[in-house]
Amino acid sequence: MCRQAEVDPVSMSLVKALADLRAQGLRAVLSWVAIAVGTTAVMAAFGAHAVLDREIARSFEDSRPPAVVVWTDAVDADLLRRVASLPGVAGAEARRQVRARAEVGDGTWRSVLIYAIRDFDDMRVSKVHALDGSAPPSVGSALVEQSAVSVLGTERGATLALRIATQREKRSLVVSGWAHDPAQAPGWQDDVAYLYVTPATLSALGLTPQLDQLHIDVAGDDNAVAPLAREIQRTLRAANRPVHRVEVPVRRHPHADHMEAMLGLIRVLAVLSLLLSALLAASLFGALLARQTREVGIMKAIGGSPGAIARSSLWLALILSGTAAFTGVGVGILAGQRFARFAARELNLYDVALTVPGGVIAAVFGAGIAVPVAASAWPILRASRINVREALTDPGLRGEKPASVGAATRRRGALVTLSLRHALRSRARFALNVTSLALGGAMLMTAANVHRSLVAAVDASVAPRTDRIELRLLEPAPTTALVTAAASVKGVRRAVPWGAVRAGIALPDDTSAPPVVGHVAVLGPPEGSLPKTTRLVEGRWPVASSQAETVSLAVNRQLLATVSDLHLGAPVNLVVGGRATPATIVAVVEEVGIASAYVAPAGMAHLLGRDDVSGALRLELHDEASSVAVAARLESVLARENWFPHDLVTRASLRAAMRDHFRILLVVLLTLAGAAIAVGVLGLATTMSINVIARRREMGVLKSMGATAGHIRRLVLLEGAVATTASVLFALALSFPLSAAVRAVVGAHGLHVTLPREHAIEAVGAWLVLAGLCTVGACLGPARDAVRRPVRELIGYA
Amino acid sequence: MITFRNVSHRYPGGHGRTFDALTDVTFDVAEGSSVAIWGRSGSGKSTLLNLIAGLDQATAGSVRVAGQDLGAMSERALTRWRGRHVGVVFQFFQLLPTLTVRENLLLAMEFVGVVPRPERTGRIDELLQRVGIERQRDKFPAQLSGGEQQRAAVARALANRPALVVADEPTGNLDVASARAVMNLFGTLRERGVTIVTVTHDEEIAARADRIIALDDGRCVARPRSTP
Repeated sequence: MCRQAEVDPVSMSLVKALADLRAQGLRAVLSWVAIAVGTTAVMAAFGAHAVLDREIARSFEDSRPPAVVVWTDAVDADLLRRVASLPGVAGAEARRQVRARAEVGDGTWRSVLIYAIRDFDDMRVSKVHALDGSAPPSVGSALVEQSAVSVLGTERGATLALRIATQREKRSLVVSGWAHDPAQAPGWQDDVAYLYVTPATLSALGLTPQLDQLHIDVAGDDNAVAPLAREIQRTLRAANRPVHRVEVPVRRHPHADHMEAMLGLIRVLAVLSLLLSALLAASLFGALLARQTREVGIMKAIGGSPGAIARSSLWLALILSGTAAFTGVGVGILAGQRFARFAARELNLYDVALTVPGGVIAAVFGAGIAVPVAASAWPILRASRINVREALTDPGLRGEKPASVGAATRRRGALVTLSLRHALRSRARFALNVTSLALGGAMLMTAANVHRSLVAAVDASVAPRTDRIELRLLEPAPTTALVTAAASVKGVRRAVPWGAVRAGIALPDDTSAPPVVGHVAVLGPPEGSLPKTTRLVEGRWPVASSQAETVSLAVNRQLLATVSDLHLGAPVNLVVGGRATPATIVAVVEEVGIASAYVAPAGMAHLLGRDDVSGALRLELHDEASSVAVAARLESVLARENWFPHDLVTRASLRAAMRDHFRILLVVLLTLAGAAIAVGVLGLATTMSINVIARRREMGVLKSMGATAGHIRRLVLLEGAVATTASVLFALALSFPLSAAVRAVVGAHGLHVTLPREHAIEAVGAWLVLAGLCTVGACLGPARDAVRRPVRELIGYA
Repeated sequence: MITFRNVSHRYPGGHGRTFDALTDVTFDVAEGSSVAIWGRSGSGKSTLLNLIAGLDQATAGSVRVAGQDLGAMSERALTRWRGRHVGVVFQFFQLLPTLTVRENLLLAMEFVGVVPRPERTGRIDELLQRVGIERQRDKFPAQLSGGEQQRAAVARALANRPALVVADEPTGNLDVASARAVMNLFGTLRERGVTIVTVTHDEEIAARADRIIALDDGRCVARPRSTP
């Protein structure tokens, strides 16, 4: 008896799928590319998110930030040992901070913080990493924090001219190398430089070499910190050491808010990319499988079961999505790592490990396969269930009633009617195409809108001001003398004194001296009214009388975000020069800037204990262009009078600093826009091309009727224009809620202001042009190929 | 009307091989006559029809139709010529499914432009009346029977007043009654001076033509007795 060879149904399905893949040719390639690009975007977004989320936390924790900082006179080895041995103390370190100004050329000076480190080789808390093996710096030299090199414009071996806060004469330090301090915000963002020296260098600078701060790391959770801070105070007093101040710093990176906003944006990007890829995959597989309906009929006619037919289509989806996802994941990891490296630099992270977690890779790879396969499930199911007669005579429009078009369209001729009806012939596919194309456009418009909102918010915080130079002093100075001296500077038209002092914030507890938990710039506007650059959002503007025991405060949202437990009506102690003054938060304001609080003039006098001093000046100039030169002249006057500036900024540098703070957000938004353009344009091109390629037979019929190349070009372009116009309009509509959502994320975390609603019309125009060009290219390429072929070939094209 | 001289057509096959669809075919067709191209499957009937209609170009020999040497024309010129001189009817009708019957005809007129715009509606009504589906003018192809679709396809082929109508198995997909109606229609056209070339393997349909060009293995042959 002759025995027939058995054929494995799975392998036959696979063989059929491979043959289909070859037959699909360019359509399969385009689908593959679209899925690969979609997966790349998703992988890059999730990968960068995973890396940054992990590394931001790790970098900050690696620096072992202090849980408690105590100011005393001098911390010697014995005291350090004694504190370190206290139960609950995980580590103790001695440190000193000296404020200075460094000359950067042409009489321009920048703020500098000099940190004296006990032992560069044995840092236990507040760790700083010396780079290039340049630690410890020799006597008279310093390491410069890497992110501040551009602030000083210096190089290794250069000598820095310094003015130190407590001294009249200039000093100098040699730059011996670079350091990285993960606990600091990038110096270029705050326009401040950080220098690291040994105690011996303090002597060389004419200072006492004592280190006066104790930095303490605490074992256990945050609840252990306050009791331990009190225990440390008792220990110091028992050792006859004075305690000038105790601080319990917030254990967050200085720019944690920006990071949260950035990670939030990346999450939005990741989710949108995933959605876009899914829509693209659904659209493309729908188009691919629609072409196979007649084959399904043939397979059924020769006995193919729905399961067997579905298997071969599933193999096709699996092969395409599997290889595309594999490639997309690989490229996406590299792209995500590249972005993470850039973001790490912007956030002053050090030695970032770029490894993307395996779980994230597996999840994206799985989604990259599952989403297209799931998207193709419905067309596969529908195709496998169709009856033989229907399948064999399928014109590609089964079950779809042609869309009705208006009389106005019909009057424009049969070609226009044909284009419109074709574009709308499958409502589901049209909706899918338009949505996937619109998503790319909406992402671009959202990115542009929010970018513009950010810039507008920064501009709004600067534009209403008439001053061109802002000076804040380290210590308040007599108002009359200060104004007279400033007004004497050539180029100054008017000098307006402001109350200003930097205060510690302590939350009242059951002790007489609660620890400082944060710092705030307290400002007293001269008019005693709300500055035009701020917006009152809660409460009332403080109008404290001079008799009041409690100072009324208006605080900005930045302060509320920095120090927990602050809210409208909350009592706080403002600590200035070791003296605590009770205050109450009576208003919350919004503004772009650092954590600040506003008080009425009487409140400022109460805080300082006198009303004849000012901590800040705002200078109006005769000529704005001279602001840098005027600032340099003012710096000389201040040095002569021995008034030390905390900050001295021109309006231009203030605006630049504000925008620098949000550079990372702007870059993320632009990256989002770039990704949107890449994925959206490719999706558009792929969808349009497939639509044209799929209609070659019809083009043959049209040519047999006398249609010229021009007719066919007009037909496909009109069809493309319908989809493109619909997608641009839908993108515009989508961009409104998306922009509002992203503005809310960025406003709540990055800026702490309600971002103004802005619409970047140029983004709509750009997307229209891009989509238009893309449509023309994507439609005309395949159409040109079709019009060149003889009708016989086109009619025979399957 | 049609002159074929030593026409051969060769298709490229796989692995560098070729396939001869027509070999050394020579014949003439007079204007206003009807011709059936008859033969077995694979005998070269459709290839011959494609060459007559300018849907493809011969690889050797001379093809002249309506006074034009089709072998010397570009694809663009062929398209323009075909629109003005030839009406094509396909076996599977190939009506555009998203256009109504009326719009299918109108599109053909728009492409070619020989029928002045003000006359188009009148001509469409006249053609649909002539093929007997005037009441279906605003229906989509999917709403018509097979016979009605083929009649609509014939009307579309006649839209631009062609001197030549070529039809590839026009009744191959129709029931007997519909097939007869379509062939009667072709007979009426011939009486009006239109040259009709029909590809068929149906002996009865072939017998209705003035002349039969029989093909076997790509060559013109005397008509065999047996049906293919």
